[in-house]
Parts: sequence; C-alpha cells; structure tokens
Amino acid sequence: MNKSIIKSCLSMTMVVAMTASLIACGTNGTSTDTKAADTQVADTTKVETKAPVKLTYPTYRVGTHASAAFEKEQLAKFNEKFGKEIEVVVEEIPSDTAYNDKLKILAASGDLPDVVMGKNGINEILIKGNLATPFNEYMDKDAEWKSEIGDAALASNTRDGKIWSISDQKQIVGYFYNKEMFEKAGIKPAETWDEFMTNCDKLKAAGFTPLAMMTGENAWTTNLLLAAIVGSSDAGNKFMNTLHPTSFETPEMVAGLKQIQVMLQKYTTKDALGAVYANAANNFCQSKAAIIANGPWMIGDFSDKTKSPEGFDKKVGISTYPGNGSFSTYEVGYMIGSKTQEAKDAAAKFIKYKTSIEGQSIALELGNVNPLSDKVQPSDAFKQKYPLFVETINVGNKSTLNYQVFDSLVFPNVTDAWKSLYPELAFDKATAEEIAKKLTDTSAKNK
Amino acid sequence: MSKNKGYISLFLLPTIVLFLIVYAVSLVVLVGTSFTEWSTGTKPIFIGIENYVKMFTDDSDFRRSLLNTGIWILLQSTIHVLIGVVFALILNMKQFYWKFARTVYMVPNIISGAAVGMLFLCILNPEFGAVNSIIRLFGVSDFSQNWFMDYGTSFLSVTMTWLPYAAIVSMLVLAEIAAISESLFESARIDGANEFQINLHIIIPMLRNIIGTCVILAGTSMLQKLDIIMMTTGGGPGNVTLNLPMYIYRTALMDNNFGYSNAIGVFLIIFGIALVMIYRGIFKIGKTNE
Amino acid sequence: MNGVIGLKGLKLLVSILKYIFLLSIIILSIGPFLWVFISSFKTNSEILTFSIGWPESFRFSNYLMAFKIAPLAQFYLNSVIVAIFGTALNLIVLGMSAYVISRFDFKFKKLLMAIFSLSLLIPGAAMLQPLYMTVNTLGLYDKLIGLVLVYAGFGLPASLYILSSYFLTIPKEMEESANLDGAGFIRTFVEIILPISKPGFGAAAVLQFLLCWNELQFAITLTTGNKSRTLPLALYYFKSQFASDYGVMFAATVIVIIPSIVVYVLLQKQVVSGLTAGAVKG
Repeated sequence: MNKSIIKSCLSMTMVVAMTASLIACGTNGTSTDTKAADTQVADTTKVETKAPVKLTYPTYRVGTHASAAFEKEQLAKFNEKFGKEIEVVVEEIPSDTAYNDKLKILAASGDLPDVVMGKNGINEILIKGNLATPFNEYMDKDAEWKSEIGDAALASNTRDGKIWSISDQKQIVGYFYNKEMFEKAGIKPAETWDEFMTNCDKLKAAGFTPLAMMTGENAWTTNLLLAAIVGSSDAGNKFMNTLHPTSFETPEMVAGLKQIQVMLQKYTTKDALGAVYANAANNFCQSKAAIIANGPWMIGDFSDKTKSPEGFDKKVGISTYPGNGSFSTYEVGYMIGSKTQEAKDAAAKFIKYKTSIEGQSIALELGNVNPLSDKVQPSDAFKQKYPLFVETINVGNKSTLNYQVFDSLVFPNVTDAWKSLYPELAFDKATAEEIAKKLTDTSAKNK
Repeated sequence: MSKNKGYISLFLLPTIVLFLIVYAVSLVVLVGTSFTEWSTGTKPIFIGIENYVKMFTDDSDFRRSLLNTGIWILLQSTIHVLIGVVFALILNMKQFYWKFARTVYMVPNIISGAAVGMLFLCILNPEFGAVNSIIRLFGVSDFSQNWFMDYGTSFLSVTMTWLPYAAIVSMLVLAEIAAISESLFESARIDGANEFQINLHIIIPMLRNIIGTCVILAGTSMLQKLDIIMMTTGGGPGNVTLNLPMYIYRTALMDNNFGYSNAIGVFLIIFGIALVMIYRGIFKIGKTNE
Repeated sequence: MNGVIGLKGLKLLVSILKYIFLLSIIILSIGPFLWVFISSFKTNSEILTFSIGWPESFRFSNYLMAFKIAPLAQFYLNSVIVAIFGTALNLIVLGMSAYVISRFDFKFKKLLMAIFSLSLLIPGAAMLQPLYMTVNTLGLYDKLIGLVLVYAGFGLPASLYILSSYFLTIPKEMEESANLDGAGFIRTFVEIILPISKPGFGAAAVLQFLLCWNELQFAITLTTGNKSRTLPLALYYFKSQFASDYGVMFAATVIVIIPSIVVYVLLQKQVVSGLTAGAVKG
C-alpha cells in the first residue's frame, strides 16, 4: 500500500511537471493568440455588444510623480466622454523601475496590457518581438489626429516605415540657475564650455557650490550635462542624435567624460556620488547649489512651499547650454499591446484622446509638459503662474543646436550602468577612456 | 511500524504539492533555458553550454560578484550568527530589560528591505545624514564621508546593513533554549555551576541543531538578498558591492538576457547545495540530541 | 585577597562589555528609525540643514499628504489577510512534513530533504516569470489567495528547517509512551507533540509572517489592481523618478513601519505565553 502511494505520488509529480513545462513553453514568444483571446474574453465579462470594451492600462504616473496630476485629469475627462464604450482598467505601479520590470515579465509571457508606455527601452523589446500594433493604419484614416501630433513627432518614433508609438510630449530641456548666486559671483550664463567651467570657479570663490549633480538612479542631471558637452561639436552632435550607438569610444565622449570628472571632483555637492534625484533637486531648491540641469516639469517645485522657500521661484532663471544648445526630443509615448481588433481600436481611441489637443492642454496646464502641437498654447493664468515656462519655450525656439538625452539613445542596461561607473571616474579608479570602453562593453551585452 | 508509512506519505503530501506548484515549474524553466539564448520577446534558441563557458571565462563582473557573495556568506554565517547567539544568551538571563531589548533588536527585520535601504541611505547621506552630523558635532568639522560610494567604506557599509539579521538568530535560539528542560538547569545549579559554566557546558551543546540551522539560513540568505543593495549602492561603485543575486537581477531585467541569467541562477543553486551540504556535515544536523 | 578582587574585577569588566554590546546593538536597531520618525515632522529645508535637531514645530502636514497620495487603508487590510493566511497555510503544511522528516526514517528521505532544500537556493529574479505563468494558468492572478499560496511556498525552506530542528529536541520517549497508551499516529501528533512545540511554531510563525508582510517584488508582479495590493508597495508611491519631498517620504515610511512593529509586539506576546506555558516537558 505504501509503495504504491509513493509511486503514484512520483508519477503525479512527473505529470504535473510535464504539463507545467508544456504550458510554459507554449506561451513563450509570440504564439499567444488563443491564450490571449481567452483572457480577453474573460476580461470582458459579458459577451454582449453593449458592454464597454475593457482596456488594461498600467501606469507609473501616480503618487508623487510629477505627471500624476495630469494623468488623473486625462483619465477623468476620458471617462466622461467615452466611459460608456470603453472602460479603462488602471493598474497603479508607483515606481518606474517596477513598471519596467513588470512589463518585461508580461512581454516575455505574451500577456501585454492594451496600452503600454514605451519609454526606458520597453518600445525596443516590443518592436523586436513584433508585439505591438503600429499606428500607420490609424494615422492614414485620421488626418486630424495626425496633424495634432505633427510629422516630426511621428517620424521620431517610426522605424522601417512603421509608426510604433505615439509621442505624448516634447522635451525641451535647458538648465536652471540661481540668479541671486550668479549675481553675487558676478557671472552670467556661459556661452562656451570653457566659460562654463570658469563660472564654476567664480561660484566657488563666492562660497557657493556650483552644480547639483547625481550619480544614482539614472544619473539624470549629470547625464544632461554630459550630453550637452558632447553634443556641442559637429561629430558629437551627430552622436547625440543617433539611436543605439555601438561604440562610446569617440574623442568627444572621452573629452566630455573628462569634463564631468572634473565637475564631480571639484564643482558639486558632497553627496552627489550616490545621490538620487531627490537629493539633487533638494540641493538646488534649498539654495545649496547654483545650477541644475533639468526639464520644465520641475518648474512647479519652485513655487511649491513644501519644496522650496517662499519666493524662490523669482530667483530662478533658465538658460540654453553653452553653444546655444538645448535638448529637443520627443518622448516615446504610447503603444498598442492589444490582441483583438476591438481592443486595438479602443486602445487607439484612448491614446488619441490623450494625445489630442485637449489631452496635450491638460498635460501642459497640470504637468508643465511641452505640447507637441503649436496649436496648444498656455493659458494666460498659466503664463502668469509660471513665467519660467514661457522662458523655456523661448529657450527651445532660440537654440541653434539640438540633441537628445542619453536615456532615449542607449540600451536600458547602459542607463543602469552609469551609477556604477561615475564613482569610478570620480575617484580616479578609471580614466575617461576606460569608462568609455566599459560603456561600449555594457552596450554589447544587451540582448 | 509499517502502518505509519501511510501517515508519513499523507503528512508529506501537502508540502510536495506546494513545492511543485511554487518551485517545480521555475526549476524546469530555469535549467532548461540556461542552455539557450533567450531574451524578452524572442523565442529561446538552444546554444549548449555557451552560457556557462562565458560565465567563467569572460565575465569579470561575475567573478567579482562571486567573490563578494562568498565573503558575505562567510561573514554572515559566522560573525552574525555569533552575535545573535551571544545576544540570546545574554537575554536568557532575563534581566529587567530583556523583553524590551528583544523587541527593539527585531525592529529592522520587521520592516521591509526597501524601507531599511531607504533608512540607511538617509542616515548615511554625506551632507545631511545623521551619522555624519553626529561626527561633525564631535568637532570634526566638514566631515562628509560618502559611506556608500567611497571605495574604502562601501563594502563595509553594506555589510553593516545586514547586522540586524542577527536578531532572527537570537529569536530562534531563545525559542530553542526555552525547550531545554528546567530540571537540567536545576541540577546544574545544585551542583554549584555558575551562569558562565551553565552556558558553556549545557546550553550551547544543546543548541547544536538550531545554530546549524541558523548558519544555513544566514549563509543561504546571502544568495537571495538584493533589496538593500538595490536601494543603496546598486552594486557600485564599479562592482565593489555587487553580489550574485543582484547580478542575476541585472542580467535578467536590465540586459534582457534571460538565458544567461538563468545559467548564473543554476550555478547559484549548485553553489548553494554545496554550501548546505558542507554546513550539514559540520553541524551534523539531523541527529536528535541524546 | 588579590584573587577575590581579580575575580570581581573580571566580572565587572565582563558586565561592562556586556552592556556596551547591548547598547550598541539597540542604538543600531532603533536609531535609524527614531531619526526618520523625528525628521518626518520637519520640512524639507529643516531636514537638509538641522538634521539631528528637534523640529521647529510638529507639523502633521507630511502625514496628511502621505495618506492622500496612497490608498493605505486598502493595502493594510490586504496585507493582514495575506499574512495571516499565508502563515497559517505554511505552518500547517510544513508542520506536518517537518514532523515526519525529523522523527521517522523512510525511503527517499534524504532525497526529499535535498529537493526541498533547493527552494532555499533559487534566486528570486529567476522565478518571476515562471511563477507569473504558473499563477496565471491556475487562474490565481490578481487574487489574494494567489499571494497566500506563493508566500506559503517561499517560506517552505525556513519553516522546514526551523520546525525540524525544533522537533529534533523532543525526546523519542514521547511517541513511545503515547503508543503504549494506545494513541494512533495522528492523535499523538496533535495531542502530544504539538502542544510542546509552541516555541518552534512561534518562531517559524514570526518569520513567515514577516515574509508575507514585507514581500514586494512578487506582490507587484502577481497582482494588478489596488484591491489586491499589499503594503510594501505604498512606499513606492513616494519614491518615483522625480519625487523630491523627503518629509512626506519619511512620513510614509513611518506609517508603513509602525503597524508592523505593533503587530510584531502583539504576536510576541503569543509566542511568549507559548514559551512559558508549553516549555514544561519531561
């Protein structure tokens, strides 16, 4: 009796293991139609034509995220207008990293949500595996939507003729500086990089820490400086506008890294190494550093009394980078991950609303986000509240040099590698050349 | 005793089922795909032992993370367990403060790894962190040592963040001590033994099993821990504080290289099995205390 | 006389060392939390400038903000449910097998133990995707019971080792005398062995509870709606890519931590009563 129990246990074990692995292998990759269709049917509770189509939409724009306010408003307004036909099931994932991780798991399992935000390399994965639906068809049918996005934005997300994602914002980024500190040091925003460095010396002499830098997370503020330095020469500019560079070992990169090395060693706060965004932002807002490279979403913080002292917003100025350059890029935006035609159409409709004139206005007013279309202009109330934002638009218009941010150009594992590499550079454990080589090696590891 | 075998199987069954559901599929996928080239969104392609070869010949990050993991396993299973046992023995004397101390010591273990990481990140911040501020109070003005990012102190700082784990050891040891029959203590005291001798000759030998268990749990926990590292140094500076679990996470979810990361995972398992077997041999676990 | 003083001196030294040891451990354990707690009442600028001072005034605005931003109440409830059931399931299942493994010999015992030990070693990151697929296939995606099952499984090795180790300390005579009294297998287990194993179960319960309470990665992966999300996720609401409000972050940390401590203290009382009542053996 006992032996047979054990035997049946073992055979049951094997059966379960085999079935499980069969299921596992079966749902890998792209052959997911039947299974996905099942889940779709399971989602739409009743199979009647009157029930609204359900869209799954995970988002990280919640909590204290700068974009949380406009996300909420867009969703509310969409529900008002289209709630009866389309029900958006929101999944709140309050961390960008967690969002990326989860989406990768879903992609690997063939269970993509209907609406996906493609930044941080998610779009690459979807494009490579052909898991998303291009927008070409929708663009051809809807000239109005197409014009609201604009050709430039569409082109930035087109590969091999297919429009993989619809952008939702234009990023115009210069740098903010503390006008009071600049006055006391007797300087004005630099026009060349050499002048930028001597400005830093003068700030130091006047008793101020020049730069709010960070090497933690994605080394955002530091990388903006690096990109601006590299992008100010001709060859460098080409580099900073090319997707997925294979080699970082160019003279411009090395020179740029050397300059960053000096900045990290001499011109920044003591907690820059290992600092996360919160540290750098607070250092600037609390007047502990004179310059921070960052985008317009930060403007709201300057008048937010929990983040900055009263009247701080009047002290902040914005400037182009030396060489009259600025970052002018289009965000990756939204992609369609649905499987059924019905869901795809619904997803397209949802994305259309978010990127329409109305959607763009909401993002502008509530999130300080640069709209795609010129037809979207800030209201007068907005202009009064955030004069700095108007200056940002001027910066974008008057700059003659444009480049993209590193995060949009490199593979995600490179974005993850800066935090380990910058300390090596700052502590002289590696030279700029060696760091450039490590970047190249890391990039090669990406699959 | 053959009639017991039925019951034995019955009692084992739920655990076997649980194990299958939660782990079996993962194991199969893990081992299977370690021999393939597989990244997110593509199908696995069989490539034989290429992944394993690469691990040992071409990957300096792997070697460093293996070294770091090894060192931390050693530290965690010796020093931390030692601290935990000593703490438990002291608390066993049940002096007035013992309940308070026991609770307080467990506090860092009660809160999630993410929270602990954030706590340490804040107090060790070079500019405004509590540690540096206190040191500045003592007169060393302008002290702004960057604990987590400075090459000299980074490894040590991360090691310190695991110190609270010893509280779990204390808790387990205390539970086991409670099981030791009072009469043993009585007779020892009647014989004139003092506290120290009681500790040495009676309690510690009876703790052989649980100390061995703690060593295993502590050591193998180093094969899984990555939340604190992720929150504080991310493996940096360079790869100074990189350990194997962190490296696996990075390869899987940053490099998108699932095939390779699963190969490292298989290696980790084999490494862990060897470790557990060594520990079991040292402590002769599994034999009752007679 | 010298000998007596020498001995007393040694005892004093040992005492002092003992107290230093205790004190440093206590400071290490509770210091960080206290600092964050006090800082949660400060404004951002205060935190940056007077980091170890007393706050200017006790502002509760940080706490109010924290509650507004994340759906904490729902998360608490879910965490409690998952933790209680996850612990119960784990203890029942592992209690049975640990008992059998530690006190009886049978074929395949070593093999089984080795297989179970594997669960201690599989890296979490490698399990994310397979487990997602398993849970999804079983129809347990986005359900609290899915988490309960998974967490009970995660605690398999720890509980197995702890309970086995504890059962090994029970003298063999227990079963023999119960047998002589005519008790069957199950009765022996339930009425004789279990009552004296309370400390072991208590210890395993604490660890398992903490595991369920604090687990983050799989909670995110295996659930999708806020109705099944647990507490650790709440912290992330305050730590997104461009968040910079330390005061609110600290307040959130405190909110998330305090109930854990309260629950632990309460649970401890149960364990303690078990320790004193059930430890009478032999």
